Amino acid sequence: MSRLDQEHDVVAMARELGLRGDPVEAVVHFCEERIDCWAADVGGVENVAALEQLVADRLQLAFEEACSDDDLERLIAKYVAQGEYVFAALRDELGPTTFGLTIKRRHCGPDSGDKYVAVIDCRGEKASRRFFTRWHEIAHLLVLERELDAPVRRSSHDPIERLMDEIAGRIGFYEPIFGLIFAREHTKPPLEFRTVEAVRNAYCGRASFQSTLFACQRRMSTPVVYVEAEVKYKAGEERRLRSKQRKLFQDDPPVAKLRVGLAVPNQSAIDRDFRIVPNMRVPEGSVIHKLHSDASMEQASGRENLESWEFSDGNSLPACEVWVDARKVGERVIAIVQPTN
Amino acid sequence: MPSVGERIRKRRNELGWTQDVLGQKAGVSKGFLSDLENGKRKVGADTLYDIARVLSLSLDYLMTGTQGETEPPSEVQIPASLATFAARAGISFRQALTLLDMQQQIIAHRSSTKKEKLDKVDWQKFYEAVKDFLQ
Repeated sequence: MSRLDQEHDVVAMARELGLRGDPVEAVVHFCEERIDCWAADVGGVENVAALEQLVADRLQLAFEEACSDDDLERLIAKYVAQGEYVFAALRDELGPTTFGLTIKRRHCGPDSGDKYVAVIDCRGEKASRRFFTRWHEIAHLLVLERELDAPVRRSSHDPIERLMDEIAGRIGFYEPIFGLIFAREHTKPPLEFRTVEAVRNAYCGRASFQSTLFACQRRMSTPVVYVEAEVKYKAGEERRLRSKQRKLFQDDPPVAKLRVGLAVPNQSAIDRDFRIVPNMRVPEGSVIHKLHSDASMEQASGRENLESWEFSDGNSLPACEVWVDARKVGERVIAIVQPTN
Repeated sequence: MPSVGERIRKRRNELGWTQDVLGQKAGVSKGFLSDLENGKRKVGADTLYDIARVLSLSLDYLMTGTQGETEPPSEVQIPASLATFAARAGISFRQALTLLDMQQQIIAHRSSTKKEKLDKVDWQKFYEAVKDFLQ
């Protein structure tokens, strides 16, 4: 049972939907079943675009995308003209860190196909999250009856938002379609970035690389840990730098180093206790560190042993030969780490 | 014991609304409402919520009727932050209700940073964005 399974809001949602068992899995399964029924009604769906259209139709959901400020203004004018004045607030609501929102229309018929309008902000760098945001908004509507109790304004740290991400990650990469493509493109371990790219192109070019990578990772029956490395301080250093004690560092300031910012294991990695710990330093001999230090390289892969990954107290990760596939994304390095045996 | 439809009709009559008016406010057709009030149709939680909201009744009361027999039907709860803003800005109760209603139309919100709960919405900013449309 995951930590998310123990969150009160998640447990309450599962209960109110009348579900039993582990709450996260039960709610995800509930959503998948709804979609399975709709897909069966129409004799199946061939691709994710058709699936999204089918699901949106059943949920009376219309998508609107704003790729520029002008797009957003047109969108606001369109709905305000129909008496949906809340759209006038979109300029503020779609701030720098908000990727999308769903609005329930007041002025439409009960059977209207756009009873709900999901506005997806595709301006600038937000465009890369477009695919996932659309499925995230769908996830909210799939569990809507529970949601009506508390209109949502939540952060990505909120348990319900994390649950919606979990649902979006599953239904957006719908097993009957995605599973076939993954099985075709990936024949044996290890999972490689080029395989993920091939799967993404075959499934949906609009899906982000990262969301596709997580979908592939989830389907691996062998341990895979996704790692994001970035230059940062130790947690304690970070805290002190932000505190009144920062004066103590004036003569000997801490040095930021390449550390693990995020480490996400798949189920097999959890089961086998194969782990990489967030915030630990990435050793200089690591494929990840070498890639980060070499301005001429964009990606790298190779073998190394995790026993060289040390904690501040001198201990290290258990000895385990791993294969690492890494690439640069801005200032960070993302990597997948897998045992070789 | 009165049915859901009868409770809707009773409250609608108390407010002096026609089925047309209630239908328009709740986003349902007059025919649907008529069937519902006459017990000829079932209603989903989603639609019932809309009706309860515009009638200023709790969903519990509409579904069971029990709350109404022991205590007055619950009124719309205005968040403290909105009440404070409304008092400061000098906007009417009706406008405050409209603001709340508009805010509640936003049913999902995907963000990467911490967002505040409904009680801590920046009502000033929200008001500025929609004030031209407030009655």
